[in-house]
Amino acid sequence: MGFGISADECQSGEYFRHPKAVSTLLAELREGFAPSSTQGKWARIMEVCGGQTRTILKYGLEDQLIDRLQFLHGPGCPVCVTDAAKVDDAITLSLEPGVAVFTYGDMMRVPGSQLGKGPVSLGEAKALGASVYSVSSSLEVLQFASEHPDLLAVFFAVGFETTAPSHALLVQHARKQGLKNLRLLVSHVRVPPVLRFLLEAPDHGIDGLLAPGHVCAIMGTEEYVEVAQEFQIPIVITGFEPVDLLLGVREVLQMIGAQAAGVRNAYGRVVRPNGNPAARELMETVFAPCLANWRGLGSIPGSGLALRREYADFSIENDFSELCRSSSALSRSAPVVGGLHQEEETSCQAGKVLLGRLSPVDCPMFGKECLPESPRGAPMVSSEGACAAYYILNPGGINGH
Amino acid sequence: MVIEDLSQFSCPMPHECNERVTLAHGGGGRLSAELIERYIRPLYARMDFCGLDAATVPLRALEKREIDMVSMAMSTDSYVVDPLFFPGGNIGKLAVCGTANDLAMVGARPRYISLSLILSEGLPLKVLESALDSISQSCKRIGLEILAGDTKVIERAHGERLFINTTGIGFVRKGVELAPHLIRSGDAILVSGDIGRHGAVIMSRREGSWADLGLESDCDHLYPKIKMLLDNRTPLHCLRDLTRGGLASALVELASRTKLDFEIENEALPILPQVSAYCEVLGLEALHLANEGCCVLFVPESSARETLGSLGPSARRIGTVLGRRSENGFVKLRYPWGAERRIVMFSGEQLPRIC
Repeated sequence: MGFGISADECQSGEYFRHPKAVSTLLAELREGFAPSSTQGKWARIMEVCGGQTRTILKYGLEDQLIDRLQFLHGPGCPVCVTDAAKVDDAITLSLEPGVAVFTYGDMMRVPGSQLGKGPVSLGEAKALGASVYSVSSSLEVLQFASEHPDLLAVFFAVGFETTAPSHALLVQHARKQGLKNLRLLVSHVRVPPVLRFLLEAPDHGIDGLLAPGHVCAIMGTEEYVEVAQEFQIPIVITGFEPVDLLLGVREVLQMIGAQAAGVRNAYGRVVRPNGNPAARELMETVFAPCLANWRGLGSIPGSGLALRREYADFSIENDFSELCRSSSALSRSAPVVGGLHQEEETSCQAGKVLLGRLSPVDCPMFGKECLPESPRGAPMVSSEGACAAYYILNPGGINGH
Repeated sequence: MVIEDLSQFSCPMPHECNERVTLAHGGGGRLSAELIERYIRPLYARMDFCGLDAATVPLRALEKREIDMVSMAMSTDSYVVDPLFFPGGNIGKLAVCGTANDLAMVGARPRYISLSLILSEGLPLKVLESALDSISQSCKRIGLEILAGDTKVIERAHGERLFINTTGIGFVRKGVELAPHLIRSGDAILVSGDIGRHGAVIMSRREGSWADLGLESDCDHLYPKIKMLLDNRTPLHCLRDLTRGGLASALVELASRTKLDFEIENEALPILPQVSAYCEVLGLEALHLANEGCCVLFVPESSARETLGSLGPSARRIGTVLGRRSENGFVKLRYPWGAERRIVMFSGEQLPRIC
């Protein structure tokens, strides 16, 4: 699909955000597809990954297609769904002498459950003198651990299946090097179980799903085929550039119109049906599915990843079980109240936002008490959280909120 | 990508010296005097001021030299950048260019500068020497004279740090006025170079976001380009140098102040591919990243072409000042396919994302 763009007109990579391609696809979507007659409304399409949410908002795609479909923004922001109790654990650990906590940048500002009097986030703990370091690669922790055998290096392993293989690599390298002072505080989540959780609600209102391209690059498409068949829903594996999103939308609208269920791959340049076998093997050797607590959504069976027994010596929960609230929180399985975990501050409606049931701009605190510099909930912290994305990218131009 | 070899991580600061700043260097005694004599004094062109409590410049001499100058301009800034040394510059160069650029933005010729240093105990003397050397070179480049200064030593608190304050004085010639209130509907909005480069380079050198962009900071003097525009009497309305907060901050502040709406074309924004890629990977926006040698210019439509010509090939026209005056000025970013969104000030630090 050339969109009439010559090779000279595009540098590599520019193709997928080339104005001609975007304009052509937008016109096609606006003119070629009548609003879906499902439930007498427009098609409701949920993109799962926060990175896709960002693209939709940043490039004005939501506004441009507002007459044709409604975008529901899904729970694909790992920062937003990390269990608050795990954030509390990370903070507690960081204040412990002899312990250094390593984390990806945007976890620094996520507030914990704020039930105690101590620092509310890892960033605050760091400002108070706790040993907290941000890393862009989990492997940076290896070097620190080997250079500081007297300290316990704890890596806060957060993310979907996309980051799990590199965390598995960290553990394997540590074992190979015989490092005894490296631990993981694991907070991984998996996409297919949360899709099931979403689709099991009878009033989910989702006509089609755009599946996260980079998770699928690792995991392949098999799990999504199962979900599509079980719930009779179209799922399109989609990428992250504006053209990728529009191609994904085009595919899913076609499927909705034909009332077709199943999976199509609109990100073929990156995603193969069997994913990345080496990465999957690495991940499956070190981690196994487990029950996980999703902030704002509650406990979802099999939706998390935990270190396998053979690698249990790398789990922080053994060393600090008296400090780790999260293990006891899981066994209690605190009930979900109004979409929010019972212990959470109830004024933040993150749960509803993550399920696509509340648009951030409709939240009474949005842009007032809840701002990126003073977030009341996790989705306002990460650039991939729907609330932060709406606030910073402020779609709507002159008709803005 | 698997990083097998972690020894590729390196720091550009000089390591080899054994001599470091100690608290005694700040004591006012012999060591202080030696430090000043050896490292600081060589920066002062006029030796006769050294040792006095203040520098003096006879007004008559000033008048003679600064012909046609009708106003004095003054600007001050403190520099606390970490790391001290980065590709394309260091805190010393930054401290001189930053303040000189502020003066240039009001159409002043930067003339004199003060230099206050706060050294932390443990700072290697070779690092100090290197920074001071850069200061000296940056001053010479545009004929800036260091007239006064101060040096203090503090206890090691935040590692081996160096903090610099520079206050600059310049002179504005007759007929030159550059200010926000001169911005008019219909003015062309230009930038003198690519955006976000300094911010990307600095961030890429910090813990947690490390990357080798293969780029140098754009830290540099703007005065030579501004001087050319002033010498040619190119009509200009307002200049603003882009620093912390990037292009977005500068535009939002000016729009808010003037209560005029600005329209910016996304495709026209000059962003280097490495900066763009780095931003994509980390979930950042180049619009919000700092520059240190780039400015935004508001000029009458009729001067746009001439101004771009003088600024050089990296300058671009990025937008226009719109017709209406609103309650609060609005900055609109337009995409070629008709989508528009509002640019707002970024609050707080930019944090790279996870996945």
